[in-house]
Amino acid sequence: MTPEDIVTGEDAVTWEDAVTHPLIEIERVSKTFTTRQGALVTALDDISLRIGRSEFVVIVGPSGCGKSTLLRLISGVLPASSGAVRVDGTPVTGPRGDIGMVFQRPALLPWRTVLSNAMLAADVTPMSRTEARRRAERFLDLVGLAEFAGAYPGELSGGMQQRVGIARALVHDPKVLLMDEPFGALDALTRDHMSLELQRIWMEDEKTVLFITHSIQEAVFLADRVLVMQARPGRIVEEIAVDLPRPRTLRMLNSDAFGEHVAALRRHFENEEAMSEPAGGHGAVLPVPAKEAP
Amino acid sequence: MSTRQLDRPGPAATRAVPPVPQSRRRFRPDRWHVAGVAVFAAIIAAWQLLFPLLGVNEALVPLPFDVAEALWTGLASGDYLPDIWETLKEVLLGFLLGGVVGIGLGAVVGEFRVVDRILSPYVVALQAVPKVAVAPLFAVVLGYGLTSKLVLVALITFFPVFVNTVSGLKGSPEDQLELMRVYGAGRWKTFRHVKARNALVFVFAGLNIGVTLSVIGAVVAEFVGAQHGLGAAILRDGYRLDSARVFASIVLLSLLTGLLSSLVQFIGRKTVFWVSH
Ligand SMILES: Nc1ncnc2c1ncn2[C@@H]1O[C@H](COP(=O)(O)OP(=O)(O)OP(=O)(O)O)[C@@H](O)[C@H]1O
Ligand SMILES: [Mg+2]
Repeated sequence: MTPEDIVTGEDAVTWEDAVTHPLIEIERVSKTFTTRQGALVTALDDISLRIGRSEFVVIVGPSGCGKSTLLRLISGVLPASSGAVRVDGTPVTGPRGDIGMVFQRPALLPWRTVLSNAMLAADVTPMSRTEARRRAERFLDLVGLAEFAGAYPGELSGGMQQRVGIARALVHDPKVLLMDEPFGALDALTRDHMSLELQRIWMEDEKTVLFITHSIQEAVFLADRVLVMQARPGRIVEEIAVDLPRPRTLRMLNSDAFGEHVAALRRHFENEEAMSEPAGGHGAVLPVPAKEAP
Repeated sequence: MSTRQLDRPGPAATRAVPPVPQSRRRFRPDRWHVAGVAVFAAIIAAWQLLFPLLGVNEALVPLPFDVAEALWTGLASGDYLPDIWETLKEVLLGFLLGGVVGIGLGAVVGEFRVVDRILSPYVVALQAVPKVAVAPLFAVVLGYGLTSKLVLVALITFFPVFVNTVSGLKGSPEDQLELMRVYGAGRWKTFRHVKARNALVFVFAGLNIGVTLSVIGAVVAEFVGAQHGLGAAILRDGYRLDSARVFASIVLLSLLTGLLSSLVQFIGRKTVFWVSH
């Protein structure tokens, strides 16, 4: 498919939006690391990418292909070796505080209550306390944790902690939400529910989301567009638009249309030499240990 | 985009009741406590009954009841009070000084690589010096008053606190630090909101070692030369071959150490409440 194949509606988010009003622009970006032994590792090789406002883009790819590195370039914590990264038209030169980040592990501060964790932005960004509190309460409510505002992270389950992390990432009203395998450490059932919740939050808040996962099912379920990456050197080798209607439901996991998208992606991985190892379990898992929803 | 038709998917497993803060359990003696007390009583009884039979010289090893009596009369008459007060003063002031300097310097060294590079060799070298060996020197330079004791106690307390503060500041989880980086939080904010908090666990570990050492420091400093203090009392009574009183002082010192250590641990537990002990 090419962008021309898609007819755009008024408010639909499409490739065309991504091309004409990109929120994130990545132009011919490469990233090379020097290891301790002095060897050079090309984590990203000549990557170009545009992501539109309110688009939900999912990246899949084998371990070590540079997915996390790409997110770190966008968040500004890591400089690119060459090429340009722009967010909302301005070049990324360092961390700016307008990025929301969710990691695989919740990374909550255990000495703060849930509410105080969600309000972290008030302490580290110019945001005012009252505003932070208002938004933190709103997003905790949105992730279903309003009644746990006074609890400490140690008193919550892994899934609940991760939801606090998502609320926290949204409180300072970031332009982009970057999610690095946010559900990777959760069990299959919780994972399904988290996908649903994330979709709901995204539809309500209309954030631009860049989401990394090892699960093809999760990718198809969440994405407007799936980017497939390849390792050594890290490259984007394919883009697949997912035109399933929203809101997507767990029932759709069994639909033909959903199955076709999954099959298309899986077929791609079967062709890729780097990923030709047998995928265990559900079949739609990349050759990386990852739990898959039943 | 509308979300209204979407119901809230809340997995049953995560819709738990809000946690009730667990109140501290009351102390209820179990059989291990009973066994412990029984063993202690047996040892004391054996000591009291067997040593005279074996013909152990009472001027060298006193009997438990004599020690208890010496302790009781010494406390009741107020004899011990000046000594206890003096040692407590040395320990508390020295510990406070060593702790504050240890935490302060530890924070600077842990936070600034340059300072770390410059100071590290000296710290390592100083650490190799047995601090108690310097006690006579301090006495000569600083006199036989409170100051020389206080400085030795502070020095001996300083190291564990300092070393633990430094490693504590370097021990924050990488994902917490990455989070602060993403927010664009500067050095001070990262220090204040993440590093310092994580370091607290280590700081209290260091303080706990330090408080035990500080009593040792005070006693050694008093051995070198002092009018008052439990260490001085031990020397005084030792010369008079009053071994019961010597042992009574040792018991008092042990109680003091145990008490201070418990206090530090208690404050530590309250401060770093998020770590399960
Ligand atoms: N700080 C670093 N120093 C040296 N090499 C690095 C560094 N960070 C990443 N790399 C290398 O860059 C490559 C890409 O790493 P990255 O973490 O982006 O992979 P990933 O796609 O996120 O993998 P995973 O799915 O396992 O998380 C890897 O080969 C890794 O070894
Ligand atoms: Mg990664």
